[in-house]
Amino acid sequence: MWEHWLRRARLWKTVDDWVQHGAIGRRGVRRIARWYPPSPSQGAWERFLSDACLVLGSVLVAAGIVLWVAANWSGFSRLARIGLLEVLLVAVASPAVLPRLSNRAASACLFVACVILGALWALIGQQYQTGADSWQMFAVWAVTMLPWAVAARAVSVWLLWIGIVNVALVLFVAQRSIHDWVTSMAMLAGGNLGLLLLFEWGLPKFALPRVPLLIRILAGWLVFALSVWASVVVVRHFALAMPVVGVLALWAGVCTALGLVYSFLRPDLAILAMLGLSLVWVIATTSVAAYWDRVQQGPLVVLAILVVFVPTFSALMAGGLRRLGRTRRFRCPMQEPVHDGVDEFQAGRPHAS
Amino acid sequence: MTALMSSRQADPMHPDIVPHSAQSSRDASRCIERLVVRLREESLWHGGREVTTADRSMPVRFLVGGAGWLTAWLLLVLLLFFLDDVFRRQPLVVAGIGVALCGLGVSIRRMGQGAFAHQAGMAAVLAGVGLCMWFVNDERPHAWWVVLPLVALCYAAAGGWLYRLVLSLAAACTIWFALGAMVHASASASISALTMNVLAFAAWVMVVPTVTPALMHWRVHTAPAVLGLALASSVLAWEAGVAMTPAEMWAAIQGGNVGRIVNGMHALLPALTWLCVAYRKAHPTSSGGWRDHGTRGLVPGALLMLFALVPFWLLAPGVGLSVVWAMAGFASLQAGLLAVGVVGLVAYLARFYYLLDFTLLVKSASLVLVGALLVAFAMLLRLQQSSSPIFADEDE
Repeated sequence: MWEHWLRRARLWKTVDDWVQHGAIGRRGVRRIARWYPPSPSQGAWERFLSDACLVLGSVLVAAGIVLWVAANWSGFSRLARIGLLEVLLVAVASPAVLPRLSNRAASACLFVACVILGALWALIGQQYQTGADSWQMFAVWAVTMLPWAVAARAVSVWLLWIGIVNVALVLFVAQRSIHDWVTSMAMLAGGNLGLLLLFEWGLPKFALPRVPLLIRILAGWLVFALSVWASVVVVRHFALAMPVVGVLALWAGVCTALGLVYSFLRPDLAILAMLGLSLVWVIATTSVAAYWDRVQQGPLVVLAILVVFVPTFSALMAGGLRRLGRTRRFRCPMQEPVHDGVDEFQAGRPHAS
Repeated sequence: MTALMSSRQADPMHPDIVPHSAQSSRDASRCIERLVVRLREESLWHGGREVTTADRSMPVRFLVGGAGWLTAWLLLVLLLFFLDDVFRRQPLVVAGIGVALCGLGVSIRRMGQGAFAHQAGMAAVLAGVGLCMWFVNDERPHAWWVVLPLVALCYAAAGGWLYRLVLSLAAACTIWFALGAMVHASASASISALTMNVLAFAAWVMVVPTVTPALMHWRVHTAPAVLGLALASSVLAWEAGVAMTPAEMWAAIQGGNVGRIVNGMHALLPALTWLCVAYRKAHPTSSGGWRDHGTRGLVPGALLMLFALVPFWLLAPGVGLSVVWAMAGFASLQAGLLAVGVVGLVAYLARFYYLLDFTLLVKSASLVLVGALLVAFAMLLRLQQSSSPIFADEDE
């Protein structure tokens, strides 16, 4: 449904551009609206409502349970609190094994159960003073949640798992008093590189089919952490030649590897665009670090050069991406499943002739 | 599938421009070109070759957009270097430059067709507003009149009378209240709530008619203002004092406290939005909307549910408004508005956690109750859909 909704939204954005430039008048807009109604059909609305209510409802129930734990209610004994939460965990998770329950509902049950699992670990940490927000707690949560995620085979549950692993990484860095951006970003980048490898080549074999959305989120987060890491090192330690060269070489190596993989093995324009933006960003920060204080009127010179260089270089890269997108390799739908089913926007809404 | 095929067969003139097989941007561009050809054949196309008919893919737009924003801000930093002395000596000139930047930005946004026009225009407007705010905040605490030339410039730079009017209104309201909030940090919560209601209803009035075909022509003119007003009203909902308990609302109704009642009006917006969407004027291409063969009881059921949730929208105004923007964005095919709604939902649920006006147990109970109601409604819908012919062959 969403792919078609986005395509229709983009069509109407194009129509908006035409109206703005006076290419079509009111009659033209009406004609297009007759062919392609500017509002979702009844079927799309029903699907949207059911999905939105299920997702929002699950999130609210999970958030409510977490708040209940956070309230640290005083009327129950220590064991009763933990027992109550465990009963709740079983009650929420058990419907997922019912054979008649749809996959979506089962995934929603397991998602809420995974959040309750985290609340349970937090409660144990709170009761036994082992810490309710330490990195160990999130790490244990991530590990104990893994079987549920494998069983659920749902994107939402895996997204939650990725988030928890990243929070554990961030807390680990913060707790070890590593307040250095360089180390933090390097650890985040390393951790997410591992996750990307896992989701790209590990999990598809047994737990979860390859999901482009997850891969793109992971790749985006990895490229972001790598770029910030490289640029911070370059700006801070430019005088120290060796570390900077080493970091830049590592950044270039990882980006080149990703570029090759997502150009030839798993063609993906979105990840290539992220790599392109990373390239622009690192070149810009390296230029600033190199010339800011070293040239007379340095800032003005650097800014003036960058103002010309950034748009020119990115326009060239955009041209390259566009050409690449036209090649056969990228035109073949590689990730998204093509539905042969009902067009939700047209379903139940025959066009008047 | 049958419904789709019959719909296409029913209209032989239908240019099949967004088929499911259109996976790449090249396919989409070809489809749009076919639409232009069809419009030309019917003498409905008045544009020349300069009007772009290419459908740029998302990755290319992402790259160009990111680089555009980077360039725009580099350019503005360069400008600030030149203005360094002026900042210290002539604040009034800075305010003037801010106003000029706003006008320039709006002009670029409207007239520019290049790859970086959008980013450069927005960056110029934001920098202009920033300079004006700096001037008012640091130099002239009561110089709210700075907004007037800004609005006048918006009016002059933008095209189309409705666009001018709406943009001016949006700019005036948003900037004036933003300045007010900065200058008078102790502005009362009731003023914030009133402003939030005014802005939210203004955006709502503009976005809801877009689902009717008669006003489709104005969609392009109202869309930026709707987005701005929706964003501004959502930001105002962040104020802790805007939330109220159902008991407080009931006391206000009993006591005839009109101001307080008006401040709680936003809680009706989700149900009103659903009402307008569900009972919209029948579209020429639709065959009567919901009453045909929709899921039984969906419309009244959802309406009842949204009305039942009014106490929760009062407790968490940001959540209610986000639901409205998500619904309105989905209804009018505006991805930006939908994104405002989804991001707002996440942000305001986190905000609800930190609200000090209610105890954690009250917040927990309300979240679980609302969540359970939504899940139950979703289950009912799924149950009915599985027996509906529309969903029979696409379930799972």
